[in-house]
Amino acid sequence: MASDVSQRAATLARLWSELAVRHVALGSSCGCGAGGVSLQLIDFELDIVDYLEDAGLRSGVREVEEFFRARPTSQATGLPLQTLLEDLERDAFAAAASAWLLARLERTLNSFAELHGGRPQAAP
Amino acid sequence: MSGHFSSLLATDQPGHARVPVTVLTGFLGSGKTTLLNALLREPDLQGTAVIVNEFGAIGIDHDLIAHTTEDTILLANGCMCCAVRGDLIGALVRLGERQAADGSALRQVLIETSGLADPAPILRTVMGGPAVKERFTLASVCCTVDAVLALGTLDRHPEASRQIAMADHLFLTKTDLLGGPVPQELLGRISGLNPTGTVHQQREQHAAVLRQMMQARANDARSAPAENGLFYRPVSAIGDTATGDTGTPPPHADGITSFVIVRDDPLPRDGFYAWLDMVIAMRGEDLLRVKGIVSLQEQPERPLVFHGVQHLYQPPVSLPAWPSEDRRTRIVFITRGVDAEAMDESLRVFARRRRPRPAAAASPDLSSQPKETP
Repeated sequence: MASDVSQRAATLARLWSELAVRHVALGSSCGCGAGGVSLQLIDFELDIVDYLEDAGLRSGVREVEEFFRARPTSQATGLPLQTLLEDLERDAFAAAASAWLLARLERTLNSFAELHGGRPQAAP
Repeated sequence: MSGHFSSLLATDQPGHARVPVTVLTGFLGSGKTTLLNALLREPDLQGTAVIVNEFGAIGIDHDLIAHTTEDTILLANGCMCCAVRGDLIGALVRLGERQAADGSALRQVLIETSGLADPAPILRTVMGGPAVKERFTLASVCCTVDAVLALGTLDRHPEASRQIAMADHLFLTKTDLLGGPVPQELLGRISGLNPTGTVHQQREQHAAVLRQMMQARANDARSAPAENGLFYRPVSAIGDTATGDTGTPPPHADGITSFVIVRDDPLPRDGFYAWLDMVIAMRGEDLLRVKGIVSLQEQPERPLVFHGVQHLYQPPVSLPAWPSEDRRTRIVFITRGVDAEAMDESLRVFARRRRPRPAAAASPDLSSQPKETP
């Protein structure tokens, strides 16, 4: 039976995979000249993990600080958020680190989901 | 990514003076024309054009204005926010062309909307119409509110709520008929819809205040939200300084929520632009008004002032200095159901951005020179 950490991480991973690839049009049908440009939230994976790292290193939780020191975002490649969620789903980290990461990710990703139009959110 | 807001930085034309446009809105019978008549008796109004919109096949508002001039234009037979929007564009373009052709000094424009108008499409026309935004800039939105009837009107007519929510200045009319002070219930209702709007209760001062608003430039320090005493309503503040029980922005029956995002520390330019671009792209339709004064890491001595309606924003302006000792970033949102906590949290993500982004994802660089206020 999957652990609570794995289940929460899987829920977050589903939420993010749905949000990340949606295109959001900028300035479509508008006379501002910015039409035709679109973004995807996947473009912001590095921003989110970077933000998480910044908060983690100041969290005062030893396991969290050790986690980020061992896994600096500056060395991240590819899709760092997706990778992090997959690792959490595998319950690969110390319990205290996983608990902290999941709580922060739920808050952050639910915020993006909310801005994206009140889509179904992962339960905190 | 070059988004909607950041793209404005590349299109702005420093040194290009634009004519300020003030929109006077207010529900049917709330005293717009009375205020307009009082305004037209004010001194120093040379070069003022007035555009009046009336909902009806035969316009009579034009005849009710005591001091019409050749620069008083009536747009009848429909509401400016929908049916005669093209007429509004045409009227503004003609005013601009005439100014360019004969050198006549057009100093400001006042648009009186019909009583049923939703201000948003009108503001979009002023701020976003390609033929209009070259020559005109939104100065402010003013709204008359009938002190006697407004509570009932707000219960029955969502247009009235939107008019109040989007205004910078609210003029309480008919206070002489109350037989006492303005009811706290009404003031609370107005404040709930629009916590940053300035409420003017002194009837005899309304015309002078309106004139000052018309003659101010939209992005100058006088109209920056930092100077608004109602700006810091603690119930609405979200952000670095909003510690403890700051509360959740109260939802209103008409779905309008308002809140202020505050940041003590300067924001990285690229991150702030990326965040605002994203917010506009995702929730632009629900952003009824956005006004902000922003401290940027790259120019901490010169705050960036901006304002917009839905997905349309006027080119942001860098002020030469902070207008007060308060150097915090403050961004006011009046929205249709946008979650304040989600906005706050997402800004925290982008406020962390420090590393250079790939060229395709970077916002245009902001000129180090202050942009001239239109």
